[in-house]
Amino acid sequence: MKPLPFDMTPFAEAIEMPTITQETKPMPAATESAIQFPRHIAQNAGWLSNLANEQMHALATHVLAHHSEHGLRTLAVTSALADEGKTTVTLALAEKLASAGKRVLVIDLDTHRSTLSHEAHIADLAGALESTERRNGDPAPFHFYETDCKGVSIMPTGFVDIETGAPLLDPERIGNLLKQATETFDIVVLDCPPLLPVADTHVIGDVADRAILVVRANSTPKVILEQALQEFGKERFFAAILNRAQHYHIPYFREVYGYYRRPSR
Amino acid sequence: LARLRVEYEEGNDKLVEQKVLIEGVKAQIVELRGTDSKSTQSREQYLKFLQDENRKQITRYEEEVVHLDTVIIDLEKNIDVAQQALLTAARIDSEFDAVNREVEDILTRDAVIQRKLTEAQNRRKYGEYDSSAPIQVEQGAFVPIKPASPDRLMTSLVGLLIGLGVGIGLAFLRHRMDASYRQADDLRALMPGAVLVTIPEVRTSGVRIGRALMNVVAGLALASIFAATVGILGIQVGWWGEPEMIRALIELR
Repeated sequence: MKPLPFDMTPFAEAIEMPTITQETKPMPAATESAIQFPRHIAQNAGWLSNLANEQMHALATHVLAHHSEHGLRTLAVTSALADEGKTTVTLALAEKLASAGKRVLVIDLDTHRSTLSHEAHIADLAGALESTERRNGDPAPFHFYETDCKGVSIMPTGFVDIETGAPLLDPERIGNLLKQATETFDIVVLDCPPLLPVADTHVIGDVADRAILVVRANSTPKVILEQALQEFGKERFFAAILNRAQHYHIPYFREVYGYYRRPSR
Repeated sequence: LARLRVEYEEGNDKLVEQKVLIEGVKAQIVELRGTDSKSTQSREQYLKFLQDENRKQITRYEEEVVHLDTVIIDLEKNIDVAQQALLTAARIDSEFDAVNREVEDILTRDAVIQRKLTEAQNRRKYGEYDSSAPIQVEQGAFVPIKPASPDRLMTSLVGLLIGLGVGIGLAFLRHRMDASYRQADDLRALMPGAVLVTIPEVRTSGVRIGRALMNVVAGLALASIFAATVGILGIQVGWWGEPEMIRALIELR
């Protein structure tokens, strides 16, 4: 068995298993103590208030509807290019789904630039890559970390050797990982790398149920996005999010925004 | 008049000559009378004949003298007329000289005017100036109120219109060349069946303060540029008064 690049002893006594999983299924071997949910990402983007919050409510409602009606379990969040808001959408959506009583696992699969893992300060912990390793027929330990946001757990990317670079993702292993995750969690949200620069998302897209496309307004060129959709498959996308749209491009923005700005009585 | 003078002088000489002859004959008669008692009959007759002849001659001479006197009187009258004519001619000559002098003055002035006209035409045509020519101030110089050319107001308006057109053209071009997604309808056309969510750009307090400061700085810069442009344009066009006065105020400061 390959040793982990850190000492797990201090966390051994603080392992908590999800209640339902504990009752019904054997829990994965390696869960850790609760970490701080990286809410500051959404806070910095101003998403925890007013209209953005409500828009994420709407998206979560659609996801829950698909979850209950069509058995949607794994959802990949991606974009055509980098810096379009994938991680922010992933965390906000997970928080909304968890607030509806779902157990949500967020997996950081961006092995090239794992923003989520770094922002949650778990980049140096075992994660998805370690959870997909073959261990001579033994089940790989399942590394995820519960957060202080009730119902939301995060699986970091894992250890990536800087010298060899990001490893090639195996669809079978990712499929096994997601299968294992869906046995434990209700919904699994995957924070994926962007479509065009990295090939990993195509692998992830093959095993995920549906995908969510994040498009940054006034930034992503149409040609690039059309090319990405053509390569990835337009039908795989469940929803599209136009991020950072200017308010004057949103119909009735002032009326809606004014509603949300009124103090509640 | 010259002919009359010649005739007068000839007649006068002839008269004097006749008078000398008459005096000679009279002296001869007196001489002959002195010897009259000692002559013969024939001599007496001859003398008588001579006396008669002499008398006749004297009479003719006297008649001729009378005639000549008459002629001389006429000639003297003619001389008076001629002198009057001479005086008239002299007066006419003097008048002619005066008129001639006036004509020469007029011609001289005309030549001067013609030369000045030619110089002015050349100056207007070629912009040259003959410094050796005499200078006469025809009209006092004055500071023009506004330049005759170019029309700065028209130039400024044309420039403003061209700048406005170029700005609108550039904005239109930028809008046409911007191939990014701006609103949900753009995505709806691309992904008709997908759920569409629009997240507005929410500015945090730090971003808002930063952008507000940037807006203030940009606004102040634009206002300064606008004020400077209007000021310079106003000076050129003359909105704030005479350009010379503005320059004088600036130099004074």
